[in-house]
Amino acid sequence: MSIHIPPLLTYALRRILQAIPIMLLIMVGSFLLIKMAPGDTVDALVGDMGGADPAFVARLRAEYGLDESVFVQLWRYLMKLAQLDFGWSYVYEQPVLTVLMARLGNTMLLMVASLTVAFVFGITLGAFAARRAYSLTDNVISTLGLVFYAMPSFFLSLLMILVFSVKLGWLPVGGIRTIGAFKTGWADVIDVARHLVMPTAALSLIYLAFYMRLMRTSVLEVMDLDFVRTARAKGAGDFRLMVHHVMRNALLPVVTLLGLQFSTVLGGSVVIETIFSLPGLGQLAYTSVIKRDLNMLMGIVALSSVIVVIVNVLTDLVYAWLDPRIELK
Amino acid sequence: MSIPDTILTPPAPPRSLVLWRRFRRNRAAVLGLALFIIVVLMAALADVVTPGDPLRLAGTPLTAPLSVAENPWGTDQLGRDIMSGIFHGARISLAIGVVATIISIAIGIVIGAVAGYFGGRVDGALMRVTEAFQTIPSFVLLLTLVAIFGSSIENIVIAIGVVSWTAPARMVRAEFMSLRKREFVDAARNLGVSDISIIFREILPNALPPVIVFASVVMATAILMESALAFLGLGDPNYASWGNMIGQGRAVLRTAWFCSVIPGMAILLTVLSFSLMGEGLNDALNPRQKK
Repeated sequence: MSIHIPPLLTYALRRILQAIPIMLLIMVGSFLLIKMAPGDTVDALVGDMGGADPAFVARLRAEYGLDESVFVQLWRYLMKLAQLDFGWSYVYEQPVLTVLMARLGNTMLLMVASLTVAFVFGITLGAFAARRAYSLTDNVISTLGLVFYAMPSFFLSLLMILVFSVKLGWLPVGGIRTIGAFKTGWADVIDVARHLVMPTAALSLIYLAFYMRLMRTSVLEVMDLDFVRTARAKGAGDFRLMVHHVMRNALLPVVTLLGLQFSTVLGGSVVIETIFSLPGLGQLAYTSVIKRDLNMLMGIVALSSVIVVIVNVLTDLVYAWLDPRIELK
Repeated sequence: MSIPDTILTPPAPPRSLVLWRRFRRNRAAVLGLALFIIVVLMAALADVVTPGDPLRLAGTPLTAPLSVAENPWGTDQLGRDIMSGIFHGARISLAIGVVATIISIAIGIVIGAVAGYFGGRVDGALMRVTEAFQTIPSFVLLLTLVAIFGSSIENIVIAIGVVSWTAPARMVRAEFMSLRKREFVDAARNLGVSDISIIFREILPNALPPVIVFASVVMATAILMESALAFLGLGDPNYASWGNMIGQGRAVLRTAWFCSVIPGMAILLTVLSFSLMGEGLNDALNPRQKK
């Protein structure tokens, strides 16, 4: 008797297996890239000490395994990664993974908030524009979309700070919590939410514009299809028609784009977190570049790639669930 | 008496003229073209309208716009002329946009063409590499490249090209996969034309139009990436860059908003011009898409 495994689960497992060679490529690639950088960890350490005698430098190199060939070092690096050892950060004097994990939560909070805002407003406005295609409303929404798309996120951030923090004093300029307030319970949740309003708006706007435009095109296409006409003929009301028949099908390309763009959104968090001093992975990437903490940078590349792979598998599953025509193979 | 056919049917106008007529009918696209021409003119006339080094002291620091004749758009906290920075910055933005786009499209064409034409294992291997590049957040990779190789303007241009070739590569691959089965490719192959000739002379010209339209998107993204880098202070410090002006203006945002708002509008309008032109070009190439 065979064990019954739900097809969705086997599909998810297969997608994760497919991601392994890609992750391996990224790890090997980023390792070789860092090796191309002039100067290694020991050079940085010795530089900080203001110089040291050659025997000491050689001993340090041997201690960190930097005297071995690149391939031996690469093998060791991959073996360590397999044990979730991302190395040591000489800037933070802590294991890289510890620093990454302390900041992962804030970045995920910003990601989820931004993508939710972009998705919900994007598909609603897009569907709205498509229902009134080529009307004044549609033209206004579509033009706004182009302007949103051209707006640099850091410029928008500064404009919002100028208006909502400096002039009106409604929202805090940066950080994730009010320093020294030690709020608990709902007061703490509201405090964090207030700190996230501007970063979320700045990060989501361009994606909101993307989803809006895609949704508009997609809804226009689906509304022409046979099954929509059938549903209308059977007496489905306007609202029911949109939500049950058109939206579900029109969402498919938007979901695909959402998965594909997750890595771009994560990259965008570098600028936004730096502006709003949000202690997340993006801000960490920026400070690591400034302080030349290459171990940390490699850790960020590795961790963010893992997150992107997981999100891509999840979006594939949502896609399969939305579109029953997809065969799970 | 019979009349020759050529007199009855007037010669069809050249394709480029047809495209231009369709493009011209789209008011938004024409606006985009006008904006783009203004930016090109600013870049071309930078040394005539605002001569001298844009990074030099040119007036009293933090002069407001429209208050002094020498600095019509005002000055920043180091007394640098903002108008001069905008005009010279147009050169940097356009140069980086164009060169980075050429690099990314070139890499995309080679990888996409080889993967789509040969298929099989070659395609599998190249697509894994493409997926790896798509998985790493591009701005994080850009930061890493700049951290390792330094932030000279050449390195920034190459790095932006290297992080943005995946979408063009996928487009070219899809075009090649559908075109390689067509009769004209079989015909060329039967005549003994080499693979390289078939790829570049036979298939590529047919696969190019959508990629050229997409180039406007790549160019807009490249300009945004450079300005974000410069905003963070990781750009080339030897050139006036709009992003860098905004980054420096941030320190005096409360008192002198114009230091960051003027270069911000410059980026916004430049990127908008590319989007509008790209839209117009797309509609002109696929007139059936729009009712």
